[in-house]
Order: sequence, then structure tokens, then C-alpha cells
Amino acid sequence: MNLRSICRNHRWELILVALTFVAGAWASLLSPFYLSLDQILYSLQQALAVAGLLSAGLMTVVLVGEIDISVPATLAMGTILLARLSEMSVPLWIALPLVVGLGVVAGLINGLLVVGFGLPSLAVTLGTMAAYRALALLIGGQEGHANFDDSYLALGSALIAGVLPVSLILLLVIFATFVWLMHQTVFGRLVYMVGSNQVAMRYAGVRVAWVKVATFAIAGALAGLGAAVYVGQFGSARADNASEMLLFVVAAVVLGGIDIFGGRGQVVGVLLALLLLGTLKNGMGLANFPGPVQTLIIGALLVASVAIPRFARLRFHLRSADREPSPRSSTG
Amino acid sequence: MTLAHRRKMPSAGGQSNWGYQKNSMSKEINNKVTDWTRAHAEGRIGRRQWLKLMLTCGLSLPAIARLLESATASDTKGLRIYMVPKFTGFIFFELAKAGGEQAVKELGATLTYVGTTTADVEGQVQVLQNLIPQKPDGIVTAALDINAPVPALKQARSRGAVVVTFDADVAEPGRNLFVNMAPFEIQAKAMLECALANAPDGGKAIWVAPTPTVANFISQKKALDDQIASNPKYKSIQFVDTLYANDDPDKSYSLASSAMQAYPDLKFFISGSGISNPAINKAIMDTKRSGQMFSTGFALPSTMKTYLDDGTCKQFALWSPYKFGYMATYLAILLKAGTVQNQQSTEVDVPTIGKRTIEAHSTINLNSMLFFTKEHPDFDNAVPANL
Repeated sequence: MNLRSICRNHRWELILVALTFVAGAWASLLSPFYLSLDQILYSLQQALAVAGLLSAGLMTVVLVGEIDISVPATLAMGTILLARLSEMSVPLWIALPLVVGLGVVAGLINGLLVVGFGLPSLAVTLGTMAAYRALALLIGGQEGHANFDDSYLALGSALIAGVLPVSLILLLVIFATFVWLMHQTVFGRLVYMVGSNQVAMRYAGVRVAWVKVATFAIAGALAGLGAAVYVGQFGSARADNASEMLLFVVAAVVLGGIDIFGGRGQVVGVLLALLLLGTLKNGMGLANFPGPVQTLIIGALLVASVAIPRFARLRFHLRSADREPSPRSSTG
Repeated sequence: MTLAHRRKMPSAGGQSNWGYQKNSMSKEINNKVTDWTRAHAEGRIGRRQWLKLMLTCGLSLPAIARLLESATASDTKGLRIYMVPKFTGFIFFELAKAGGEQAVKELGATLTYVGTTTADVEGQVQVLQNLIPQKPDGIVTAALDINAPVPALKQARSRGAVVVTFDADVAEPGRNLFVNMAPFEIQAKAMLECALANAPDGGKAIWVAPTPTVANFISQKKALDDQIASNPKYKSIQFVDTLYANDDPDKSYSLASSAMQAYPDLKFFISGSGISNPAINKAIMDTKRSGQMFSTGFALPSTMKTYLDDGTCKQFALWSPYKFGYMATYLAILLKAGTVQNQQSTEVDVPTIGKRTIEAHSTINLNSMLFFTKEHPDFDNAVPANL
């Protein structure tokens, strides 16, 4: 692969990298406090550590052509479960697999409802979102929980060498795993292929249903892991945890170049989109932009991220209409 | 500012050009100088008289000049205060912001108002976290969660910020002082008084809270239950259910509409939410149940005018959000400047509000409840509650 083909195949990712640098430069112009390593790392951790894990999970589901909007609610169940386990003095090495397991179960329920009854995933996960929140409320009761054992907090709050948040390392490891899983393994190929044409895959003898259920389970597992990071980051658990996070998570996936109808997009794009969104939020926050302006800018960016590639493709098609057909490039 | 001078005197005394006088000056004279300077700062004696007194104490002119300088150069000048509301764009917090702006204007500090557009716990924590590198002198905030902002606030405090919470508190390690609207007992009495003003015979009531976890709503409900159990005046009111309307008008409207059908003999919706109350009043009006059922408790007067006018609601209560923001900001500045010591039973005279005392757990009460009725529908003509 030469430089040119990298540029051609990763055009969107390169745009995101460039935008992130522009955002960083803008942030350092806006605020004298931006350019400081521990500031940047801490702020990225606050903005991304939990949302990033949820984004990775949602990305997997979106790639297969479905959607799972119940991940924040699954996370809330997870934080409440962790609170309860901590109160019962269950050691972390038992609690962590339990909470990830809870996420897997929640994801499996979503997946089985979708493939088992052929229901639209948006409707199913809208329902389970409410159900999981209600469950979290039932288990968690009316109060917020804050008396966590210190070991439970490490994943979300520990710093390596005083500056590097463990949760960011975890996020990078997860994304590295996904780059491998999605772009190097048979499972990854299946996910992309089911996402682009599931009818063809079914005729080809691929167990489409199981691929889909697996992606929902992965999303659930990551929501469980996200819960463990969440309690460390905020030191508290409450049934309405992450209730406002969905927009940011969907934004990261879409801005990352994942086609909302499935089958196209790069894992690394989502990570880059997270970095871009995190940098923007950090810069605007440090410059004390009023809330509505921040929301407006992120919203405008989202619309642009959907619209610009579409216009670009349209122009490309118009220009090359009488030339050879354009190569499809984004399945990695 | 008065205590600042007392605090400043010894340090000024340690400085070289009047240090020799410190030794020659007896403790008694030193105390007198402090008292007079304080009186001068408070305006009880004029400058000329104060100068005369200083001279009679045998202070040299440079020493007096130095005293004068410390008396006029306020410690509060240029302090950077940040106000973080629960969310922006809501009239309650916009009024609190106006109060905060008045306080910084009076004391020569600056106020930056920043927050998220929705009630977003994680978003609020990020806003607070973004303040840390800016090394604020004070953070005035109304928290969306008791615990979640604590790690960020702790960091800000360790870098020198004074944190004052108002309206909704955080766990104690996260803040210096909590400005409460009124003791929960007073709030509960105000709500129950309003209920009885609407329907003197009492009846079944439903409590409406945003979520099950907002600290002051939990305490309000507990105080209501205590009052009903202990005070014979309120025995006629009985709570039969609780609705969680998420501070959302649509949700309040629809939940209340269903509850009206589920409890046909219901008398009251009582809520501490200024968003739920008008929405439920609208539901009562729309379903033509005005006079049968009432929604009361706390609400913003601007949102309730229609319902006061047509009698759907006869009385409700609130504290002044403007004074709330003013008091929290004022105290944040004075705490940072060191003019007020954050100790139990310290009395602070807050302009336009009055003398208030810091209580256990570093809590201080705004304690000015207002009743709103058809004849008194606005902040400037509301009836101060005597509870």
C-alpha cells in the first residue's frame, strides 16, 4: 500500500485528523489553558472514556445494519449492579465479569428479539432502553450510590505516572482490538458483508442471525465495561446514569464515517471522531462558550458530516458518469 | 469587609516601616485602632474623625496611609467567579445569574456563567472539569447529582477555588458552603400552607418530583411527611402516590393527566418543581377540573399567571432565585477573600437579604419564602411568608 492509496482509501479519516488538529489549534487560541498535557488527557478522559466504549459497541451494531439505543440504559444497570456488589463487599475480579456478563445478557436479549421475531432494532431497543432503566431503578432504589470500594474506582480514575488515565489506555486497547476484529478476522468480514447485503449473505449460507446477535452482545459487553469506567470516573451510580449520552455516542459513530445503513466505514474513523468531538468540547468548555453555542456547533458538525460526503459522492458520480465506475473503497 | 481589616492588621503590623511602632503600641491601642478602622469601613464614623483618632493614638502618617490603603483596596477586587447552573436557558437560573452579576458588580469581581443546555449530569461534570485549569477563585453551582461532581469540585478546591452550592447540594467534600433555599421544614410548611389555601379541607395528594434521586426533593418529601405526621394543622392532607416527571413539562402534563383518572377523588398535586407545577395546572385546566383538583407547591410566577388569574391555582410559593444567586455569589466572594470565616454560627449580613447564620455542615439558609396569589402574582409584590 503506497501513500497514495492510503490517501484515497482513508480520505474521511484524514479529514478527521486534520479537523482535530484545527480544533486543537482553535482551542489553544481560544484559551491559554488548553495546551497542557495533563489538561488535555484529563479532559479527553472525562469526555470519551465512557462514551468511547459505548461508541465502539454501537459501531459494531450499526455496521451490521441495525441500531442499539439501549446501550446507555445497559450501562446504568451495570453501574447500579456494581454499586450493589460493592456494598456486598464482592471483590472486583468477580464483580467485573458479572457486570460485563450482565451487559452481554442485555445485548443478547436485544439481538434475539430483533432476529427471532424479525423486529426493527430501533423499536426493540427503544423498548428495552426503558425496560433496562426501569430495572436499574428497581435494583438501585431511589438514592444515588457513592460508597464504592476503592478497587472499583481504579479503572475509571487511576492515572499512570500521574497523568495518563487508565481509562484512555483501555479505550485505545479496545479500539485496537476492534481494528483487528473488524478488518482482519472472518467475523469482521461477515459483519461488513451482512451490513451491506444481508439477503445475499443468507443465500450464501451465512448465519446472518448469529452475526447480528453477536454484535448486540458485543455492544452489551462494552456497555458493561463502560459501567465499570463510569463508577470510577464519577464515583457514583444512579439509575439515570448516562441518560444524555446517546446523542454524543451516535454522533461519534456517524461522524466517524460509519454508514448508518450498515456495511461501510472504518473502526479508526470512530476513534478519530471521538478525539475530534472531545477536543472541540474541551476547547469550547475552557473558553466558557455558553451551552447553547456548544450544542449548536456540535450539531452543525454532525449535519455537515452526513451532508458533505453525500455531496462529494454526488459530484464524483456526476463527473465520472462517462468514465469507469467508481471503486468502492471503504470496507477496509 | 470588616473582618478583613482585623485579619490584615497583624500582617500590616509586621511590615518594616511601622514595625517599631508595633512594639511601642500597647495591645489596647492596637485593638482600638482595629475597632475604629472597622467603624470607619462600615461608615459609622467619618474619615476625618477616624484620621483624628488615629493621630491621637500616635500613629505616624505613613502608617495611617498604609492602613487607609488596606481599608480601601478590597480583597474582593478582580476575583473570578464561575456560576454553573443545572442547565442554561431556564428562567430560574437566568434570574440567579442576574443576582450573581449584581453581587460581583458590588464587590468588584467578575462572573462567568457557563453550563449545558439540558439537565445532563455528565455534561455538568465536564463543565466543572473545564473550569479546573482556569484556576477559578470561586465556583457557584447548583448540582444535578449529589456525588458525580465531587471529584471535579475537589480538584478545583485543591487549586484554591471556593465552592458554594445553591439550590441543590453536593456531598460535603465537594464544597465549602451550601446555600439552602430555606430549612426543609419551612419549605414543607410553605407547600402545605399553599395546599390548604387552595382547598382548606385537605384531601388526597400526589407528590411530583423530577427523578427519584435529586437530593432536595428527597428531603422535601421527608419534611412534608414529618409535618403531616406531627402538625395537626396539616393532618387533613395525605399523600397517596409519587410521580417522577423529570422536570419536563410534557411528561408532567401526561403523568398528571393519567393520575387524575387513576385517582378521581384526588385533591392536590404538590411539587417542588417549578416546571411540573404550571404543566399540571394546564392539565387541570384542559380537563376542566379547575376547582376540583389543585397543583401547588413551588413555581415561577411568570409561568403561573394564567392559572392564578382563572383560579385554577389560588396560591403557590417560591423563594427569589435572584436573591439566591446573589447570596451564593456574594458568599463565595467573601469566603475567598477571607472576610467571612466558614465556621458554624458565624453570622453574615447579606445586603438586601439580612443576617444569616452558617449552620452545621456548612449550610446557610436564604430563608425568604414568598407566597404568590391572584392579587400578588409577581416577585415585587409577593407576600413574604411567615412560617
